[in-house]
Amino acid sequence: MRTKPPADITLPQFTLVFVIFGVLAIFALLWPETTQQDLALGRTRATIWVTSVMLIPAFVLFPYRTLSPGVANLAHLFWTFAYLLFLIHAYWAVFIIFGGVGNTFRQMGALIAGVNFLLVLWWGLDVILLWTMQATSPAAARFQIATRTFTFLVFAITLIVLRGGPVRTLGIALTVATVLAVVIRFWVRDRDAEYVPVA
Amino acid sequence: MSISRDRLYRVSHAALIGANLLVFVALLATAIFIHLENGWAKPVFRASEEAFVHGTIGTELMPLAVAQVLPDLFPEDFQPGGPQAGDWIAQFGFQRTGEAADKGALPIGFAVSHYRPGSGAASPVPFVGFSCALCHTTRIRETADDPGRLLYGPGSVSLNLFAWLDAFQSAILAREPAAPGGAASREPPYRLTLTTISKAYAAKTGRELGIAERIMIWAWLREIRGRIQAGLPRFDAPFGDGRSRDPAVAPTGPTRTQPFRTLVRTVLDRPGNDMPVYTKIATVYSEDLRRRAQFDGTIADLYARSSLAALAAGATITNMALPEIAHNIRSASDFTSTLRPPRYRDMFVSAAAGLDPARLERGHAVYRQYCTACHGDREAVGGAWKNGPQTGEVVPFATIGTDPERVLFRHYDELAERMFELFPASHPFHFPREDIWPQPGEEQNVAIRGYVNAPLDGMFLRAPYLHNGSVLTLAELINLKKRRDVFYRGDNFYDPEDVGFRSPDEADTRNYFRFDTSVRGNSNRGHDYPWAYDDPARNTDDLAALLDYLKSL
Repeated sequence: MRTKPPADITLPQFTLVFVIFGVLAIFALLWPETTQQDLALGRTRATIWVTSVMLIPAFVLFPYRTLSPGVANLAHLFWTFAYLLFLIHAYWAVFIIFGGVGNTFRQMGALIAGVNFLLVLWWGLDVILLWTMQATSPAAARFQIATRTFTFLVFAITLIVLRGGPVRTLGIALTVATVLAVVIRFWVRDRDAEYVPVA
Repeated sequence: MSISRDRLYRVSHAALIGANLLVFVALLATAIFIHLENGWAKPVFRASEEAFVHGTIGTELMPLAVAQVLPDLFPEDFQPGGPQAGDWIAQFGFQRTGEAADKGALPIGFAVSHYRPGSGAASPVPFVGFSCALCHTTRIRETADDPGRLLYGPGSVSLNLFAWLDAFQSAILAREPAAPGGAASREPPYRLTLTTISKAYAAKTGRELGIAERIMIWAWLREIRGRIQAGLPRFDAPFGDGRSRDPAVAPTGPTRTQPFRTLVRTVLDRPGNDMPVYTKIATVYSEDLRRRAQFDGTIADLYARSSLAALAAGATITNMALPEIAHNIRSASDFTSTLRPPRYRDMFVSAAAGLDPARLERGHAVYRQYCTACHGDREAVGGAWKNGPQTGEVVPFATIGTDPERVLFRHYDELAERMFELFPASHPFHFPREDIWPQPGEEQNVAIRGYVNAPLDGMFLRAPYLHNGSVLTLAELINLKKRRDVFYRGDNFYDPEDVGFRSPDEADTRNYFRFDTSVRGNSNRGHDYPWAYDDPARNTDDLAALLDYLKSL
């Protein structure tokens, strides 16, 4: 089991992800201006929605990263820009809504706040290592898989279990797409293993 | 024409770089916008009286520029009595400061802020909302020539807010006349547009609207029109066209509101149209003397009462949490806690000079016998108000006998719980569940519903009387004189002899609203203390003496 670090990112690959990121970020920051709800709360909610949207291709492409450098690059780009969206969300939640780290723990409770801060740090460390270490070792792969698994569980549980309403649909979409991608990947790999090419 | 592979590559390469640059610039512009937005609304933390008079309570309604021209654009809505009956301020009973410099300005209680309606998001242009003074300020005048005295605290004698809101909504939805021969399926365009507002504003002020004003007015117009239209199937269309003050259209009339119509719509998402619950705008003197607020005594906490009043006036849970708005509501509430009424002898010097001390003493004796236990009295030394042993208690409506609609309306049983749930624990106006009645388990207990015994300091400024404003004078309230079945409301003159308001025998320009006490919710019966009008024991000399004593409170 090895990782496939980002390499030779092409302009179309970067543009695809950056444009999606930009459109989602602008939407999340400006759409609440058109509603009657609390602007800061609206931005906090919208940024977590768009982070979830950005994570779907990141999760779906990740199991296929070894198939080609292009897929690996897209998976890593979506993962990285999803983190940037998540940082915007975290900033609004912690500093605008709750008024600081201490208040966040007080108002959210230690468990939920702790999980969220752990996610910020763990995901951030993963992104930094991804772009700086260029590691391909099995240990690096395990670290990446563990990070994504944790991130997936946090988002899936939050969106489906802890939140109601339309955002639950987004959580279901994220979960179904991710699980399907992983299952198909394993299925294809098993078939590859069974297939013995005729010499 | 063929395109070479290199050329195609260069074009696509340039397009991709252009797309990245475009997104980068848009992101940068968004960041700059948010940075600027943070500076649009600098919170102002006013002293208590200033907060009461000028502080927004989260009821932002329209951009200032619109407020300045709307009445000019729709005289049929805002001058329902015709131009001879005065401008919109006079016709809907708003109060002017009376200062020459304020000519043409918005009336007292129109607060200007940089918050957008509903969300309380910052705005680059000023919006107009309401302060507490809109409803709780009045001008006491005895004659047409009398400039009167402006007082903070009493419920406005003249304000017909629900009629004005009808006129406002009518103006927002008004359309141009249908073109002759035009397609019947196609509705004519709206009359109120950015263009009509811009032209009227330029004509009135000599200044063109700026780009920020245009954007905000455009966005506001879309939002408010959409919101009113979305509510039409449930709340029905406004009448407007000169009918807004018609009792059949806005049965609240001057001095009163239908607070639960708004709350039922806001809190329960129900129409609230079938509830004849009319309450006079409260006089807010000496709120520190009241253990329980609202006419039915259902709310204990002063801040909770004020926040619910703000909610009923159009504030939202969201914008009441903003530091400035929360401060204004609290600070204005504090102002009413210690605001004391002026004394009758200071306001009506000649009338007070004619009061006979012996009769006053006799009236005091009657008062002690029949009134003090429930309402309290002034202390002999110092004159401070002292509540009676039963002040603050709720008297069941079956006992007091006054109009029961205020405590029997549909949804009464579920509103308390829902209003409590509305303010989460983290909200500045969250209150304990025990502060609001009915308590869980008592929702269906109609027998305990009633009206609270209130302190009577400044009684002469609490007219009209009873919770629904159905009795014009104190002389009628104590049954010295027979209570009128029909009278006329508007900007009534004060009557220092009978203590309350005069009414003409028929409607006139000034008193346009026919108050019929036989209409459901308008009953003037009950509270027959010391005696009912037809009680054989009724002693008119004692009642006349009591009236004099009540003037002194």
